[in-house]
Amino acid sequence: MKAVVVGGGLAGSCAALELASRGADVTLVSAAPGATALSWGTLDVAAASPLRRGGLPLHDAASGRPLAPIGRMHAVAAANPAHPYAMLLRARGPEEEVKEAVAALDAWLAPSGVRVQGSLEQTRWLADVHGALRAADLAFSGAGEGDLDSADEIALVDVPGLPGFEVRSALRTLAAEMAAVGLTSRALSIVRLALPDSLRDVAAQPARFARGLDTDAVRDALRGAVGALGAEGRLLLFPPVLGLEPAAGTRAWIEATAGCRAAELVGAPSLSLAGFRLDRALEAAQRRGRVARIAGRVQRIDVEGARVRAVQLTVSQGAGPPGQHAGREAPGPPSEQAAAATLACNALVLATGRFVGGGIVERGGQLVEPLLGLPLHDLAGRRVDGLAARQLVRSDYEGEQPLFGTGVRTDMRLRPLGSDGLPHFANCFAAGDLLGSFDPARDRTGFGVALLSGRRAGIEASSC
Amino acid sequence: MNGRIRVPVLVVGGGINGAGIARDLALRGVHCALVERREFGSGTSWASSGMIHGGLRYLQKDPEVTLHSCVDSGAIQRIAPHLIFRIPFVMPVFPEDPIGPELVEVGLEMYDQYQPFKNGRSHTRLSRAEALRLEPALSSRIECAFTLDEWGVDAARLTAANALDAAERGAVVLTHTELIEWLREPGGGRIVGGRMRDRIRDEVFEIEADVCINAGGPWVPKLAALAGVEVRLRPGKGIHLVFERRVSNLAVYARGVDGRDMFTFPHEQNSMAGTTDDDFYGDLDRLEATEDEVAYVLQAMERSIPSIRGHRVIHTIQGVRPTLWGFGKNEDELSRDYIVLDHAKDGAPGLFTIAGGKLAAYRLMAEDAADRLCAALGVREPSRSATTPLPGGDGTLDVLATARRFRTPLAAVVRLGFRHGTRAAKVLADHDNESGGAAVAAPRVVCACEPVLDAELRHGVASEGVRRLTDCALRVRLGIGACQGSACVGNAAAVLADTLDWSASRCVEEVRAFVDERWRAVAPALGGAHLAAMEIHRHTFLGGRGFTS
Repeated sequence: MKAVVVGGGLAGSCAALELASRGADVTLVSAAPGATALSWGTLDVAAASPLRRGGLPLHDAASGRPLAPIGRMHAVAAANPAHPYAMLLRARGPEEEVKEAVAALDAWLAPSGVRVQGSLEQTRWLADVHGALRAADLAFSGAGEGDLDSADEIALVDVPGLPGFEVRSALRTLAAEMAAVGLTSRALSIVRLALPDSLRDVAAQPARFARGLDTDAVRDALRGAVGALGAEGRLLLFPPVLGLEPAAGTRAWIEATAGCRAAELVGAPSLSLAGFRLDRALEAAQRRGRVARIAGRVQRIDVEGARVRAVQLTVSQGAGPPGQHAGREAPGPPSEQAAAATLACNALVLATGRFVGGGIVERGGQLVEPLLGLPLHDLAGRRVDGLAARQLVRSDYEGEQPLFGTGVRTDMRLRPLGSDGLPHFANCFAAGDLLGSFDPARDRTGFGVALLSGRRAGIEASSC
Repeated sequence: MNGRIRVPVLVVGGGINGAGIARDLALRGVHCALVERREFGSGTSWASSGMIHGGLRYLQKDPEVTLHSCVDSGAIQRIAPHLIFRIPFVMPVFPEDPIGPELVEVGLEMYDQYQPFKNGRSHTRLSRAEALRLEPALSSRIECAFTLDEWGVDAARLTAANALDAAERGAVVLTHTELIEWLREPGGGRIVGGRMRDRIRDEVFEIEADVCINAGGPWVPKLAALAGVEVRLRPGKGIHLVFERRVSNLAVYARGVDGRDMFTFPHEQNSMAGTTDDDFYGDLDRLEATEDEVAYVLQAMERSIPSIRGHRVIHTIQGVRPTLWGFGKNEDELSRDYIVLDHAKDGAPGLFTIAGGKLAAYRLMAEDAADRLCAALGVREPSRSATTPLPGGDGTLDVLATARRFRTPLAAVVRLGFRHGTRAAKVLADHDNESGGAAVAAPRVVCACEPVLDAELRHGVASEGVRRLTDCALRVRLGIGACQGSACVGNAAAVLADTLDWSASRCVEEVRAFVDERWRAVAPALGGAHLAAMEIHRHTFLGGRGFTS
């Protein structure tokens, strides 16, 4: 059985790995790093944000008891019956569905040194780079080890010259927020990483600095400085730049060298490299799982009646031919020399994302799903393909924005629906941000939909 | 601010007019208080095209306006050379244009006579081939083209520089402070000051003054009404589109479907296109561009630059001109002249109003208004504002040496020098002194689009009276580039929190206000590649994937 997955983010990766684990011959086509690579550290299936208008609550309104993440997932589904959670949690016993998906992801990533930390039963407190508390559920290795409740003493690590981290302000915010939720017994301090001269200018470039930390040369230069940060019972919280290559184990090296626990602060854009590491770990998992990966761009999808037959693509320059594991390619349109290829398939999974991934684009002032021209619906369920994006925005930034809940609709098996409300193709499935009726930013459902729908699409596609 | 402030002059409104008047007075040794309800220049000044041009457009009907603008443009170049940049224009002539090249050239020859006042070059006539070589973005349908010379300016920065200079010369300068009511002598006599409210501290206080001037721009009628005086304007809304990057090398004239002249022009790090001019009756405090206005501008630009729709509009800028009242005319035909009114005859002695005018002639208008105020005060000092440099305008910054000395990225020093002129070195030196020397912590880039350094933000708070995060969008162009703050606003807020001693919740509120303001400028023109940027923006500020809470 041949399957093609379009999109290499978390949803596409889960679909491909699930398909491969069920014996399918899977090829994943990825044009460029997308929203997954831009994420920063947490998985967050249903993160509480009690202080925000429309945010998910920490406590159950009726009983006053703390609400578990899984309970919040149900609350999301109940509040918006069109939310993908409503469909995905209805399919089987919801608890098992979520737990199995999390366990599967953890197993796929673990050999690369990335674990899924946290639990679906309990909310944990993590800190972000601005010192704000985050009521997090699941998080990846890095931020995931930064549970504030688990340490006697917390030290924010100042890396001189590193942009995007104002340590004094972060400390002050963190102290105020921890006091507000009753985490008062922890001592808070700032410790400064004494950078040798040779690394001072490098710190101005977070990615370069992170890459250095993966190497023996830089570790040797920093051994003394890192050793000096440690203290009994201390949790060191670093800005999210601890390495680029997950398998290099930079965080573990720091723990061993400092002699105490170390974690990353939940990142901010432009600074965190957690998403980059996640992307690398997903790619490594695909290699291990015998998913063929092609750096290229889908040009056309061949259909025959109600079935998808083949995918026509251009392979990016420098990438190997179909069937071989290709390296990461720079984003952008394929060059003129790019080779064309055809991949026949029995099943197709679209995990092309929303606007960042290119799953939905605006062309000539009209929103379209570019691969199959699938009907699009906005957050309110209105048919919107062919409309201009600016017609779907409102001036209240924090309020519901129809545009940012736009995507395809599917049947219970995640098959996109055509204009007639019936599945467009018998063997085409959609997963991740391409699905409509939810706004992951506002819902704070993080990667929850990507994880659940990606894996479910893989399961459904494997039966084609 | 407790108790009372006593000054000879109270200036209400911190746009370019109010700031210019405050500075002109300060240079004559007349102390004044300048109060601005939001941030300097956040109204009409910021929404202008950011040009100190003569206004070729006004030559036919308002030659006085053209003359004043050109003469004063020359003066502004002398006092603020760092804030000025040359914008060469190309004006294409199409076969279907009602006015052929010969007649266009007659107009340009007239305009050439004004160019020496503002150090501009005379026009040139280009063949079709020459024009396309010079500006490849131009439509190949053109018959020929002309060039002419204009000057751009950072209008918000120019306003702030005037206010800053006034403050340094003894003026009381207050932002985020609004006039609640005018103070009158008992018995309904003279206007003798105003009752103010600090909108951040929520404190009320009084400023007593011998004379007051209403420099509220489009808010002039509202402020005048508080004194029971009617001032009639015909406010005209104008919008600009701001592109992610330079769309063309040169500024390009374009024509709207109704025949109006508009242009796309390189401005600072971007290109801008505009502007519209429509009678405005809405809420001045909640301006948004409309879909119609955006479409109208793009349609006009498309004729001159066919590829324009392929460029990414990152936000709009909208404002309202305080145009003088006129009945029975189209918006475009209204005079761009200005007036200074003495309201003694309206039953409000002690109160003056300045209204109308152009950015390019702000200094001349300010001088005129200050003359009137000085006459009322019996002060005989002449104006010195045409010859005294604005802060940082007294020389040339050695960008290379400064970058090397303070271990700061060259691109950041270039922009720092643009905004602060010779004072850029002081901004960096102050940072050095506070952080124990550049060897310990060199200035860091907070906003990469502009770029903006943490040192500049700290300087803004310490030496320029920055009070809110939103101030920084105007003052140093923070967070108004391609990412609209996704990458920088959190950090900038942290820097300000550190220097202004903000609580965590205040910090969140500041970010929220910034994001709301940006979104209102982004939404009307949102589309194309910008959708992805705004998806990231949303994750950043609403916190979907573990982006900040």
